[in-house]
Amino acid sequence: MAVDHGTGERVAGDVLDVRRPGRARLRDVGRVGLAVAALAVAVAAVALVIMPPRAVAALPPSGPHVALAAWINAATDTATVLEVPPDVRADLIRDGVAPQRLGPGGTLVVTRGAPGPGRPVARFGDGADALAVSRTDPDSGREAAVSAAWGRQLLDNPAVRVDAPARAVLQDGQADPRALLVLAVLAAREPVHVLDLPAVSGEDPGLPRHQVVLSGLDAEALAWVRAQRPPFTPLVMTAGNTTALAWAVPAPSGLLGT
Amino acid sequence: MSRQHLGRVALLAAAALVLAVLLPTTAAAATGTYLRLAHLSPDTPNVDVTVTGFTGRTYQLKGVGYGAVSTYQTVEPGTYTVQMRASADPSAAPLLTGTVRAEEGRAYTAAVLGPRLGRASRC
Repeated sequence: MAVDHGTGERVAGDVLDVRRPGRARLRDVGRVGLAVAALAVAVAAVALVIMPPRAVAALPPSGPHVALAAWINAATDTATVLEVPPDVRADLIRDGVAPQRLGPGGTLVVTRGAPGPGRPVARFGDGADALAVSRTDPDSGREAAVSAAWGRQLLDNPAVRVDAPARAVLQDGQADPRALLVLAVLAAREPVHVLDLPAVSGEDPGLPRHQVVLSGLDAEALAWVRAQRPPFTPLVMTAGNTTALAWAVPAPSGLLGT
Repeated sequence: MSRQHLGRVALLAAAALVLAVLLPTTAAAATGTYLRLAHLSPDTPNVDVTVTGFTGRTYQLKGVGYGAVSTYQTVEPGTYTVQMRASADPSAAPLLTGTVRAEEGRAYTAAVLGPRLGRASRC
């Protein structure tokens, strides 16, 4: 901004003098820019013609590592270490994953394409470029059965009201044990209405549901939830009369007493 | 949160881990299902223990101190969550520590063991 201290005309003239060449330069730059843009469009058009349509379609807007990084940061505990392919490590760090979260070694193993050994946890992307996450600790083989038994007992609890989609999850033993334990305690304090036990995008259908959406949780119940210690501490999200509780993946072994 | 309160929480957390391990300890009972609490941790203050069934039943044992073994309490068979808190801090939220599966015809002893005891013993 020009400031007039009593020599407004001169200042204005100087400003005009300075601006004229600038505008001219801008016009020149504009012409060059238009030419470059036109060239870029022409090159892009040629590239589209030369490149097979399938190859163009296969180019993702962002690699599966972006979704994997978001999932690691949102759904796993900060103490959980993941073993990842060497060529993915730098991508994940760029995407915001703390370097100390990436192995060697770890409870969760990330492989490219086919899932690694152990239980499948999540998968991001398709085909050979997909990044698959699996957990390496052994499966007792009885976890789903025990979880189903707990889930059915919760369904028999008169203080627990469960909507249809969540009911099936409880009956089928697909709920995370931490969610079941917390629901049992909450129901002893006040009636609980379970709206959903939703699946998380990218996670394997066999992974126990570790998010619970509840209706009408009062402040005292929320205070109890927030006071809990690991591994029972969930992430708490509230919106209006709805509360979502989410526990980190994977659940520690042994909670089901199997 | 005071340092004293944090200390109590830490002690309870340590003791609670052992509690969860010991809960399946059972003895045969002719009929019914029974549960008692043994406080065997010199490092752990007096505790209130709440066991809550998945089907809704809740039982409480309050003010159990070191060396005490409660009388057996009749409980319904089923799976129970176990919560503990220091008796001296009744306003604190009880901490969830684990589960016990109580079967018909069995008696269970839940033992609280602290760091000094070193290892769990079965009842």
